[in-house]
Amino acid sequence: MTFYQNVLYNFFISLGVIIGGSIFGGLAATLIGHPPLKTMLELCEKIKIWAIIVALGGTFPSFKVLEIGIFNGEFRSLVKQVIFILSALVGAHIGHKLIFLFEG
Amino acid sequence: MNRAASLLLSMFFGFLLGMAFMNLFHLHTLDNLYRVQTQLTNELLDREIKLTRLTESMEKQRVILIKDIEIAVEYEGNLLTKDKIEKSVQFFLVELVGKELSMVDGEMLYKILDERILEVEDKRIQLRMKYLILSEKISISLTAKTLE
Repeated sequence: MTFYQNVLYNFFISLGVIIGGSIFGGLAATLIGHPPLKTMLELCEKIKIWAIIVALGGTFPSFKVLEIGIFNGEFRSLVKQVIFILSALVGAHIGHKLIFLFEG
Repeated sequence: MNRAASLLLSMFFGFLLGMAFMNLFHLHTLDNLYRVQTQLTNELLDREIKLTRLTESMEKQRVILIKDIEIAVEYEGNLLTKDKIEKSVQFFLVELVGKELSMVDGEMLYKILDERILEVEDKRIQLRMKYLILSEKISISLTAKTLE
C-alpha cells in the first residue's frame, strides 16, 4: 500500500469507529431505555482515543516503526508514522465534531 | 454464499440501519422525553419528601382549636331577657373561638362566670355555673336568677 493510501485508510477507519460506535451505541441506549443523544455524546468522547489506536493498529504496527525510527535513526519512517497518527487523529476529530453536530 | 443467505443478510443490515436512522431521527425527542421524565421524577420525590415532613410536623404539633361555644341558660322569666343573658355571656367568651384548647383555663372561666352579676334591662341577674365542658366546642350551662 502506498503512503497516501495508508493515510486515507487511517483517516476513514478512525472516522468510522467514532461515527459507527456512537450511532450504534445510541441505538443500544434507546433499546435499554437510556437517553440516546446523551449516550452518543458520552461514547464519542470515550472512544475518540481508541479510534486512533484502532486505525493505526489496522494498518501496521506503528509503535514498532516508531521504535525503529527513534533508536535506529530512520527518520523517514518516523515522519511517515507521525503523519499516519495525525491522519487518524484528524479522522477521529472530524467524527467527533460530526456527532456533536447532532446536539444542535 | 447463496442468494437466500445474501438476501437475509441484506435484510438484517437494512433492519439495523433502519433502526439506527430512526434513532438518529428521534434523538432529540427521546432525550427531551427522558429529561422531562427525570424532572418529573425529581419533582415527585421533592413533593413526597415535603409531604412526609409536613405530615410528621402536623402529627407532632397536633393542636385542638376551639371552634364553637354553646351556652345554655336556665332562667325563669322572660325569654327575651334569657336571650340577652345568653348574649352577654357570649360576649365574654367570644374571644375564645379560634384559640388553642390547651390555652384555655377552665378554672378561670368558672371564676369569671360563677356568681357573676349581670345588669340586663335594669335588672341585676346573678349567674350560677352548672357545668362547663371544655373541648372543641365549649359547653356551658348556667342558671340565672334575678336579684331583688
